[in-house]
Amino acid sequence: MRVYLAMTFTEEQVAALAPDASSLKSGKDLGIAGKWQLTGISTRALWGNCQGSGKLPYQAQIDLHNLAFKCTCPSRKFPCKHGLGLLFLYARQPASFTNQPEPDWVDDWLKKRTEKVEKKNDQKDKPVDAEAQAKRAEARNKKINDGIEDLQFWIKDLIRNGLLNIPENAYDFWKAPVKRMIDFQAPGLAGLVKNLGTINYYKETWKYQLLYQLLKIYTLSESYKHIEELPPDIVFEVKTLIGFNQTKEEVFAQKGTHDKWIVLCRSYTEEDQLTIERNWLYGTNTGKYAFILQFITTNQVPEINLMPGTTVDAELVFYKGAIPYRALIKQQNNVNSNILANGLPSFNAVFENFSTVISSNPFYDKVPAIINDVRFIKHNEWYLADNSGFVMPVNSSDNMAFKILAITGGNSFTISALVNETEVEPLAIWANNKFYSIASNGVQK
Amino acid sequence: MEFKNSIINTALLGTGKKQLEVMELPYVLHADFESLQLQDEDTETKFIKAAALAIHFYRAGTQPVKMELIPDRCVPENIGYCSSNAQSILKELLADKYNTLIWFWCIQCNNHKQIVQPDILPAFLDWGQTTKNWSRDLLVSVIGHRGIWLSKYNPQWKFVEAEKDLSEWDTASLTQRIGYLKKLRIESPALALEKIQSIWKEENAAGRTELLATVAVNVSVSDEAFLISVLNDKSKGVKDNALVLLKRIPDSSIINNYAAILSKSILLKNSKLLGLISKTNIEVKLNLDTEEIFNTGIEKLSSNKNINDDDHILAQLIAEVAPWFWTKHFELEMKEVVKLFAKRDELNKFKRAFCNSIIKFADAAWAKEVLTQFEDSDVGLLKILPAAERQLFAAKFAGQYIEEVITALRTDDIVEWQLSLAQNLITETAQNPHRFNKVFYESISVYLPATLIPKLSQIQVSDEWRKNIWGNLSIEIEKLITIKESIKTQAF
Repeated sequence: MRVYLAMTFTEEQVAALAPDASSLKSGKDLGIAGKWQLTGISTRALWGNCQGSGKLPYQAQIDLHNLAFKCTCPSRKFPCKHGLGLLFLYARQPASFTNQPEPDWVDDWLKKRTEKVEKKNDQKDKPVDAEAQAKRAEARNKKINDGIEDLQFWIKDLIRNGLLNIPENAYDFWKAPVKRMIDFQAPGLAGLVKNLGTINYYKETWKYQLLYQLLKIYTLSESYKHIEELPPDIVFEVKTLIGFNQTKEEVFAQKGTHDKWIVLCRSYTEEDQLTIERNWLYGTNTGKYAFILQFITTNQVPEINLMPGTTVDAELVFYKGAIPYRALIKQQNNVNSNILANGLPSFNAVFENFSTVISSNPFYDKVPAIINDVRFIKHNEWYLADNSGFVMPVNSSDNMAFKILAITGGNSFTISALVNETEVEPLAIWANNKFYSIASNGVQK
Repeated sequence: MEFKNSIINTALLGTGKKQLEVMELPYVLHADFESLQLQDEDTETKFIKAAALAIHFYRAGTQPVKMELIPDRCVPENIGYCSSNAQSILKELLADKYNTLIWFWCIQCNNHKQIVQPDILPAFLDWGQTTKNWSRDLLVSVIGHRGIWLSKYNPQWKFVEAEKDLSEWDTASLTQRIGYLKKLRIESPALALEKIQSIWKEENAAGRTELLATVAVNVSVSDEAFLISVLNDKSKGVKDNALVLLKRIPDSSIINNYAAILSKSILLKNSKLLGLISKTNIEVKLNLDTEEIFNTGIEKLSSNKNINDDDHILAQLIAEVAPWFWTKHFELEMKEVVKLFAKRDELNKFKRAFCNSIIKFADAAWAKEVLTQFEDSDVGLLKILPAAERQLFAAKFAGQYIEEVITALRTDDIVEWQLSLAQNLITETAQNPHRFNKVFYESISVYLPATLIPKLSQIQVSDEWRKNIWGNLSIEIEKLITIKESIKTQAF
């Protein structure tokens, strides 16, 4: 009996999973029924046998709850071309998959995955040497405070002399303090200082951007100096931004939030031989936003696989902080096609929300929002206009703008975006009852 | 937001040169500012703290701005979108830059009166502006109103813009006028010629050459007077082009002059032998009254020692006159005329010239007759035939003129090659994988029948290194044919 699961994948969504262009091409070539000797589907998994160059066919399987892949081929890419091919085939011809009992090799793998998740959740803390830990914390605290003195001295120097000529040295004026902050064990501060190098100094807005970032760094560092006086939520926020990690165990110990989460977008950046994957999610019942980060080294298997445009039935746990967005997936039940999100009615409502969020957490550069009934307009620059004629500039490349215009035709649509006082940065849109991930940048290197 | 600018200006200049004054801030912040000024801290710290407070105040109080922006909405489509399957195929074709298959996809889409789904338009228009061998009309037919509307946002997509119509003639550029004239020459050649003449004197030699190229469309005896006038042009290139066009008019005075000379120089005479048997004699002797023809591009002297000057002149004249001249001159049917040129030594030496005249006047009936009767004719005749008939004669030339044959068989009106011909051609091309590579096979993929796929593995290739390359190429060919079939049978 053929059974169609509620989930459907588009080829575009499958393509977004490919680790590189060559895997994508090979995966597409394998997404043909003739390449598979055997295929099957259950409520939990997809599987298939694909003849390769060896004597025995490769066995590929996909955990549909978490979009995890496994294959017997020797490829170190993830997912491999067989996993991609199997999913492409499913996207193109779901009818070619027959519902049937899972073969042993599928059942075994799924069992092991379930055991691993349970073990992770039940993991107990190892006994710690509290005294040694306290000493290390004290030492680190002193180092950070020394680093803060150094950093604040540097910032004051810039302010005294004026920022006007900074663009002439935009390439490296920030490099030395970055190194020092790393030495002072404040990697978060180092990262914020490094961001000063990413400002576009060719645009007039650099003046505000630079000043704002310097003020933010100063405020953060000053907050750390007076951390005992701060509310608990802000303490966690400040410590995280300075560079203290919250362990996964600490995060998983939090109370979870269960919802159907729309995966809005997924993007990749490369930093020092590390691939950083950023995923934005939106809880359709709770209205909460979540930001899932993954750090992936070469050939490492990502722990989770989120496909933009799908809805994940999952329990998330949030990092401690003031109105936190960063989260981890504690438990994932299944993946479905996306559903429509309901957003705010106007930019006035967006900025009311923005004001509320940054009043609780002044360190947010941008705040996520979903806005209904907006239109995309060109007036020298690109703008979003709401129903009442209020507008915001859009941080958009021409390519992104053309894509939005092509999809919407100048008509109204719903957008999810990151918003601040100067601009809107699109993540995804809904138009004609269809979802389009706008900011996803697909194939990672 | 003046206070924001004041803070920025202070920061730009530096607190060493300028201080922030309380009056530069909103009233509601004055108390906090003054409190900060009382702290026992350096100037920079006081400024930073005040600025941080004010900027946070600014951020938290952000209000959107109202702007009267005129919305630009595209009109709704009146044609249905293609299916998701068809769209997926197109996405793959664009990603792989399979230009010929994209063109084929567009034809199928247009035939089924569908258009692309809008999200692919940017990628599709980007492709359109990079490829040269596409028909603007075909591309526009599949992008719908949305594609035309979208194209005006990107200067690189200007090619979508319709050519100026008659009412905008005065403001159009030469390029736009040329495009328009080419179309007008089909519908209304006389009106087009008027337009050309109206702007003729404004253009330089290059422009006049381009304008002459539009006269080539549908050139007829009605254009003769204009073309004769152009023979006095000061540019040699323009004059030469005009002469070429005049010679393409079968009833032009130049061609009539050539025909008159041939009428006197090549004579058919029937004689009776013993009063019973009729014999046809052909007399070939150049009969030239004046040397005027040598001012019209006819060479006087032969550069080939095997061909005398008179024959050289006659060959040129034969190449210029229309083939149907001979039916009138010899008073024979076409078939008999071709037989004479095929079999008779007196005319056989001119068969190359005879073929050239058929090619020049693009007469399909004559081309087919020559291909049927001549053992050794000109591969250029293939392109004169209708698409479906080219395959009947292609095999004759495949061994020696593989590229010309394939060019002739790559018709706009896509006709799949018969299996035996396809196999024959691919067997030839497989022997030279460097010359006939993946790009080449993609360009002919739409003509290859699906029945060729199982035959690919049977094609023998000489060397080991060629075998390896051919192995990969045959996999690629199979993939291309499979895609073509899916476009043809499943996509729409």
